[in-house]
Amino acid sequence: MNYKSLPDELLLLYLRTGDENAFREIYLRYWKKLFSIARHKIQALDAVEELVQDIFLRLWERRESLQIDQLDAYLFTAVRYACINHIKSTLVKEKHADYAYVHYNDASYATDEQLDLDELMDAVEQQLNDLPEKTRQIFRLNRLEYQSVKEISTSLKVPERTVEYHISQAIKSLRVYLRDYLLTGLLTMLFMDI
Amino acid sequence: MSRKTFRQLLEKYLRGECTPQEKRFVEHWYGLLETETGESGEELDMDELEGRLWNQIQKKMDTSEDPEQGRIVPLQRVRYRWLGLAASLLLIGGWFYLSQPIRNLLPGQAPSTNEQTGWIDRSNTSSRSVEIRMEDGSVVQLSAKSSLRFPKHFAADKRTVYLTGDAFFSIQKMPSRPFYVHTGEVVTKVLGTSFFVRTEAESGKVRVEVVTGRVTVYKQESEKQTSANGVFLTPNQAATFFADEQHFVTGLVDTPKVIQPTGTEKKPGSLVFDDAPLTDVLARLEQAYGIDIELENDQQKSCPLTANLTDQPLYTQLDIICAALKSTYKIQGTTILISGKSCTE
Repeated sequence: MNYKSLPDELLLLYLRTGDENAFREIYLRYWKKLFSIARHKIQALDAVEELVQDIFLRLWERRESLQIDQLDAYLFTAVRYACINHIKSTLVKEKHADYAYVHYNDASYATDEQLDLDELMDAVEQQLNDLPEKTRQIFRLNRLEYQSVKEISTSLKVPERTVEYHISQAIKSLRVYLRDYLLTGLLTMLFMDI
Repeated sequence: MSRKTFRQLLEKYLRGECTPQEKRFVEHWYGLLETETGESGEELDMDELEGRLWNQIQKKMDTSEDPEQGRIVPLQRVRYRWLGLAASLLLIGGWFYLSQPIRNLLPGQAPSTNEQTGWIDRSNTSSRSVEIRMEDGSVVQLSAKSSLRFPKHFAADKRTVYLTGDAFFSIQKMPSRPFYVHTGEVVTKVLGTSFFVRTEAESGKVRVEVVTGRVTVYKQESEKQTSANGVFLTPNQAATFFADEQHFVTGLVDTPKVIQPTGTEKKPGSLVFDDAPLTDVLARLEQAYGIDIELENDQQKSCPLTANLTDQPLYTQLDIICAALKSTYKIQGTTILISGKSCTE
């Protein structure tokens, strides 16, 4: 049978029955996309490889118990969690520094810190509210559901140029607030803390 | 905000404990996240990578397989054992005339012949099923912790055995000498066929599942069979007798099997479909399993279906069909009913 022509839902059903060919087709269909997403988020190539492998392994190991409605949505969420988890773990590595840092400062520091975070989140929230609904929607489709400009243009029936404009608007307005927390920002922050 | 606060926020997100606002924040931060290498990094050999990653995944699949199965088996042990049994016994039923293997006494079998009455009692105290071959050539697979009582020589007009527990029967066809299995209050009457009888000791439930041929099951009443309180079963159908309510409930077996074609009749059709109308697909399945499959919505009849249903159990085949047609199915008695919307919209 030609697995290439099967829709995702059928591949999932075959996968549940332990069909390795269906699993391989899922891999072939999605590995590149997951790899490219992770590569855009994480610097270390070996970490990206491991993370992509783990996503597929987990899919295989839990094939009988997983309740997946939509395969692509499941995999995109999985790669988001895996990337965030990886970034989180690079922060954990500096645990000692954290410990020293917290004890070096006085007790009121925790409150200030909390305030900072809340303020930042409020600012981002405000910014999001100020953006037109369409801009938020397109940003989400592009950056969290990984739809290409072309796909969004077709599904929302707007020109590609317009889609690109919305994405760049969202990035521009959010970057102002989040600049310090994007990867390069995170790294400088690490050095500052030590 | 320090690295620590940020890390805690990410941890919260991964645990799914974020407030909607925090969630939005993390996801937008993630959405903006972009490495420079991702954009303009060195060119990778994607074909090499595809093969290498897949090899590594496969390697880990193999090594993790055993402990994984070890975890699953205890949960579903009963069912799997049953499936294994059903599969192997089906084979015996189908190939009975072709192969006549030599049967030895298996360990755990405790034969004892009562010469005065001419009855043989066999209890299977082992943990595996034991094969018993009777005078007429019929074969019984006696399950663990079950026993069978059968005569050394069957009567001229009928064959009668008594079962306690579970067994699979593959009965030689003798129209003039029907075969009777007595299980508690339940009598199963057959001419020539293969079927399971299972007893649930605590509830007094008796279940009969037919693999080939036709079977009549009825409640024993002063040695007189009346058709009113019995049920007639064909392959892949099952009847359960509830001792408390004193009645039979008919349904389908847990794992319907493809019926072995008898003699030189037509071979079972292919189960690979390419744009075939749904009615053709269902007709093929009905023929394969001898089970009625009905459509609630007649408009679905011509819905095209492309699928490979080979070597899948019936319920998986139905899952596949229903997924493709966005429909659902349910079992009503001995019939399978598919419900869904027309596909011609």
